[in-house]
Amino acid sequence: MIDLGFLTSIFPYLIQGLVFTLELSVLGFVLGFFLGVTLAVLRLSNDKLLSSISSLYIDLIRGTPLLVQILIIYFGLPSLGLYFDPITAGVLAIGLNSAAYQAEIIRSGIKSIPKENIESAQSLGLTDFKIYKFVVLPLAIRNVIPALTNELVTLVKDSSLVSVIGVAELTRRGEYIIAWTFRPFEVYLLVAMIYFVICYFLSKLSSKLENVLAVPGFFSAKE
Amino acid sequence: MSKVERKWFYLVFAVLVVAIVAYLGYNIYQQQVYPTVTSIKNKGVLVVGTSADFPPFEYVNQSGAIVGLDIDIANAIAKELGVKLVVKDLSFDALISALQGKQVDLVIAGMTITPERSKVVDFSVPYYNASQAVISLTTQKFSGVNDLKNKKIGVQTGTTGESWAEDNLVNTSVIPESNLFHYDKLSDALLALKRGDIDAIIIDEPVARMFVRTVSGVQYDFGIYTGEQYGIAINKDSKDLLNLVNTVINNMKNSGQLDSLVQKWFGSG
Repeated sequence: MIDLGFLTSIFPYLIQGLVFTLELSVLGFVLGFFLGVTLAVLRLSNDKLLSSISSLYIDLIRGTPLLVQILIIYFGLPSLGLYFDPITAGVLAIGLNSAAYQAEIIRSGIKSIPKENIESAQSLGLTDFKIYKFVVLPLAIRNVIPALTNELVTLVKDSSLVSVIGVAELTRRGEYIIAWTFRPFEVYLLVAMIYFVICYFLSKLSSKLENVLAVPGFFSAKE
Repeated sequence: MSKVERKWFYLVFAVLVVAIVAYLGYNIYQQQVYPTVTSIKNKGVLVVGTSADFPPFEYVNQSGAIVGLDIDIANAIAKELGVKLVVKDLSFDALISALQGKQVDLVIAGMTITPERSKVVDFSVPYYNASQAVISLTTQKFSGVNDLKNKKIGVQTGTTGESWAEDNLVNTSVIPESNLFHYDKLSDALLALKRGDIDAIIIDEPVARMFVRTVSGVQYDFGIYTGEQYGIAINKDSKDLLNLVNTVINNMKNSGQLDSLVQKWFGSG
């Protein structure tokens, strides 16, 4: 049933799609990370207005499908005069979407910081901004690397949704090939394998990162 | 946050909001007009939307280019306008939105002219008469509806073939309802056919022709006329473009160019 020659012949074409898949998911993740940190800090701030703006954003984004968000950014925003090319629209949609999830992940990281650390920092006279920058965030983010990896791996797979607006990423390229070969089983199997290899590699990379960044004697799961 | 930091934050936030609103306002003010023959000629490009997974109308060939009967027709239109052709691939469901959002000038995607679609977009004169067709394994041959008596038939969910089978096979008791099998994808139906779960599949005629050329052991049995016609979709506000497209299609029909293109992409079937 599986024809290796056929798989080898379509492999280079699929791999070109992987470039888009990675571009969408990695850039989207980075955008989502910076926005997510901001949202998490705002949500935890004592300021009612800022905190509720952040909560509202998170609820809105989490409560609507990513596919719909992609379609709104690509097809809806032009009516407001905002035109994006498909890749930009895809990165924006994935980034804005992921920000809501990453904000909650980072918030849980921040909440896990013992309050003694924050009190010590305050007693040293650090401002709130410096406490976040030097004490809270470095520890909080280390703490949530596994959860963030989860998010990144999810994005790699969800980036296939961007094919609706015409980005020829991995899954879409698979569909192109199936359209003229009528061999769905082999093509999808190969597509799945490529996704798997990428995600496996990313999760290995994240555990490496976890070890490298680990603060000795602090929050370490390993002895 | 300290009082000072908060003040700065609000300021930055307010400036950002004002900037975004101003930008959007400016953009709406500058809103581009619907594509017209003149605007396309000025741009120098004709942007055509399609969904490149419907061979032989449009598909991605081995070298990664989008080709097919529809693309050849689009090229003829671009040539008439004297501009370059740019093909944008989108999912089929998104094509009409792209037309309304002005991301494409026209849509040519093996799109059946329907009353529902005609409410939101204009269609050119039809350029292809599509029907349904019956395909089966080469081990048994069907030459008409009567041959399908009590056979097991596969259809694709949501297609014209499905409703035709319900009206003309199930409701007329040619086959019992339990003999009509619904599949989400054509490829699933094909697997079922090869395993012998079903005797025949009813699908779009052009797809059937492509199918039997690509997959061995499968044959084209007979066509079913359903009166479907494919047209080019154009924004309702682009009447002069619609006229030009109609002229191109009519010229291609009269000169026999359209027939030879159909021959080129479908072969003898």
